Amino acid sequence: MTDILREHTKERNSLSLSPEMKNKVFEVEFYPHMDALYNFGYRLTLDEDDANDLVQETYLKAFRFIETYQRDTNAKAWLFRIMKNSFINDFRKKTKEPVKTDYDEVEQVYNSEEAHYTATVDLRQEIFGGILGDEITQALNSIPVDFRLIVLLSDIEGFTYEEMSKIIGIPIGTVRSRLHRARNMMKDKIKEYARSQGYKVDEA
Amino acid sequence: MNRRDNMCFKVVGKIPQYLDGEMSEFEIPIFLEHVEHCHKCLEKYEIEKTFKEAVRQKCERKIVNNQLVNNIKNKISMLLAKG
Repeated sequence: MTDILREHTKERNSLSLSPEMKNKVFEVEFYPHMDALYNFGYRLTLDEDDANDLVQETYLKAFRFIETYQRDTNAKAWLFRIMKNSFINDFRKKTKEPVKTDYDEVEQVYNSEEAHYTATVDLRQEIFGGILGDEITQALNSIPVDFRLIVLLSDIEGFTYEEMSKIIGIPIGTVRSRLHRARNMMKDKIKEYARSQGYKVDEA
Repeated sequence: MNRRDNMCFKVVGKIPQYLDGEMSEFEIPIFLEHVEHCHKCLEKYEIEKTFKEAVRQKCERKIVNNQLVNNIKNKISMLLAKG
């Protein structure tokens, strides 16, 4: 993304905003999303210091690339995209994420009509609705980061498929299938837990 | 597979799109009409809905600390002052 942003910046240098206007953009459009960005950063890294660093880096990048931001558009999606890219660039290198499986292949399998039908949840409602709290958070934390990311964007932040497609940089069809796969992974974790607690889990 | 099963098959696959607010206006009435009258699909729908709501409600939201807010605002102010 940074290369693209730099290109845009070059082209648009002549249109640069005054410091007062920049300040206004930060106050009105960027700062209100700090809690959401922190939450996203924390859920991605599961570490408070890393989340702090990510939020700070995101705002510094927002300052650097502010000329490429179109005012009164989707500031939240724009900032989330910066954070997601910072995370991928900086933190992936440091962390020992297990070797990336070929998600596209997995996604294709899950995307077939057949899989839609059989992979749909078979957990009783009362399990989701009643006893679970921490287990849902734990299930979310336990799935690989590409999948965690999409659940966070969708279910926690309420982004549309189109917004997520832009934030992550994948086609909408892949957003849909990856989200489906991510939710099924979480349900599997929850089922394991429910079984361990003596709940009878249907395998319908 | 008979026609009714085929419909269930399609409807179940569309549940996430409906819950995520991604279904076209054209499809919504057809989807709801089926779900309201099909016990099996209704149950699957309810489970998906409960799951999505549970994820949203039960994942504790982390809040940024004031020190970080001040740090960032100070840094941006300094950068703005530099022009």
